[in-house]
Amino acid sequence: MKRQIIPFVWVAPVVGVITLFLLYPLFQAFWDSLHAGASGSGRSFVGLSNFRELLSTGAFLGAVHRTLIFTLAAVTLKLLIGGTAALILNRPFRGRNLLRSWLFIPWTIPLFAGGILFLWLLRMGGGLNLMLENVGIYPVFWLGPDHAMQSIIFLNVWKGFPFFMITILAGLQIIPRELYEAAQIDGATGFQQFRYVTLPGLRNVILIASLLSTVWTFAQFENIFVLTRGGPGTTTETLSILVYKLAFGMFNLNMGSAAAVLSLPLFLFFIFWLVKFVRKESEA
Amino acid sequence: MRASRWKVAALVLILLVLALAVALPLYWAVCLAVRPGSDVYAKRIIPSALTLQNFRELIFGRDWAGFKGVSFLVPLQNSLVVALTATAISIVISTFAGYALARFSFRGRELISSYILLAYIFPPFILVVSLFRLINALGLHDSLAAVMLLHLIIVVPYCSWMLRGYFLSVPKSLEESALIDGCTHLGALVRVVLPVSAPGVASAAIFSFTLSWQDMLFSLITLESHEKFTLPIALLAMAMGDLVQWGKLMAGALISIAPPAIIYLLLQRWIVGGLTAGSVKG
Repeated sequence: MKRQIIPFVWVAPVVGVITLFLLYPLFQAFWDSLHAGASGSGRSFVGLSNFRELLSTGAFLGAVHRTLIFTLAAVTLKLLIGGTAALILNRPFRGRNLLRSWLFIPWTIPLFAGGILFLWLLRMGGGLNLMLENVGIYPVFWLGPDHAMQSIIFLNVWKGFPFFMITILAGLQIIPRELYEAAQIDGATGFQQFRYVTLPGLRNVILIASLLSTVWTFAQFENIFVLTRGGPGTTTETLSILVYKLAFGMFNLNMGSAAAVLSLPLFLFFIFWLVKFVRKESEA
Repeated sequence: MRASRWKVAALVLILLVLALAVALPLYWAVCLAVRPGSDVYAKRIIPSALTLQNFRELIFGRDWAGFKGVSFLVPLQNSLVVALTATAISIVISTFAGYALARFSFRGRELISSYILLAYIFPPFILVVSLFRLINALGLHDSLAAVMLLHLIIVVPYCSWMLRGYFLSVPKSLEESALIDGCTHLGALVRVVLPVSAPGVASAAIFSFTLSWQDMLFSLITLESHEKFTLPIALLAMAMGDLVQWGKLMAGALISIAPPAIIYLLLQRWIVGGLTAGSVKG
């Protein structure tokens, strides 16, 4: 009997924290999204009308569109740049450890601080434009409507590529050497070794890193809020920014909850895939 | 392996571009933070002189972003208090949960493991409105305690999942002899398992500290008084308005970058394995 109770007592605090700060708020969000007006007597049940309003103005679908562009571009670039850096760093050369530490630095920088650095770097009279002017190129309005999306992607890739670099590097180091030796004996070229030994060996590492990064990038808030606040206009207004703006900019908490609830299905697909995959990996 | 000269040149070029891209924002931050005020309107790429004026004004000048009477040490201290408290609480409760999930067999174990993993991956912004309501209902609006509590939902699932994985990798035989000798499970955990799990616990703590340190969203929805600001929203406040004091702002950003950067670079090799929460084997 005692053995049955002990495990539950031990996990209770953690389960309690998650239930109070995740599960309960999630139900609350569903509930709020069906209401209008502040809590108390001014509050009334309005059914799905919040959702209808969100979808009819185009604000929500626009945010979905921008979030997808941001996520797809940023994750692809992080994977390509991080993967390339990992492949190069996997060969022995002088200064390799120093370079690896150097390239790892952005990952240690909190995004809010990274955003502040980029705020100066990319502004009209800022660092990048000063350097361009020195070589005779006209300043570019990096945070203006034409380039704001590229700028938030730049910040996200700058901060995030070392994650791919380090995980892929770790993945490369556990591929057995014998596989390469066998491939060489069979006369495989460098590219063939990469295609048939390296890539299959990295499959799971790349899949997990990409899925994790996709969920994180999808939900990114600090990155965009510090640098552009979703602007100019709505050019960089992603889902997380939209939720924040509706709830705390326009003080419509119910509408904010409705936008959050509406963006949930997009996440759930990735989240369930990831949970299933990671569970399978860690059990194997 | 034979590599042609062109290939080597291309690889070196890629690395060079990457290394410079990493350096660029940092170079400008340091440059702005240490250059004298007289450089502000000069279009200089290299500072004319080096000075710690900006750091001095931030710490002793007591008017970052025009809020008289609050030194920049105050948000620094607030961030430290929040991150350290959240980490301490998280490590204690996650050690028990992680150990129970790794060692005890009981009904619902798999379900609870998935619940924790789901919470680790779940994006906090979905919950931001309800959490704002919850904090107000608890009467904790505009308090550091509220930020600390909210950070638990970021750090606790991570620590539990990571420690569960670590305890799974510790050989069972270690505590079995202790249990046979009449030791309780608590005794076995504290005296036998924890001492050999120090690296795992330490890296969980470091990650948890940085996760809390990095968060801006929860401070943003909770805090209003300047003397309670944490670092991210203090910097945000400094970056607003028409007359941004870039030198001080960059000095403040560098101060907030320093603690996690130092921890990571010193312990890099040690904690890399924790990057994906113990999800990648090997």
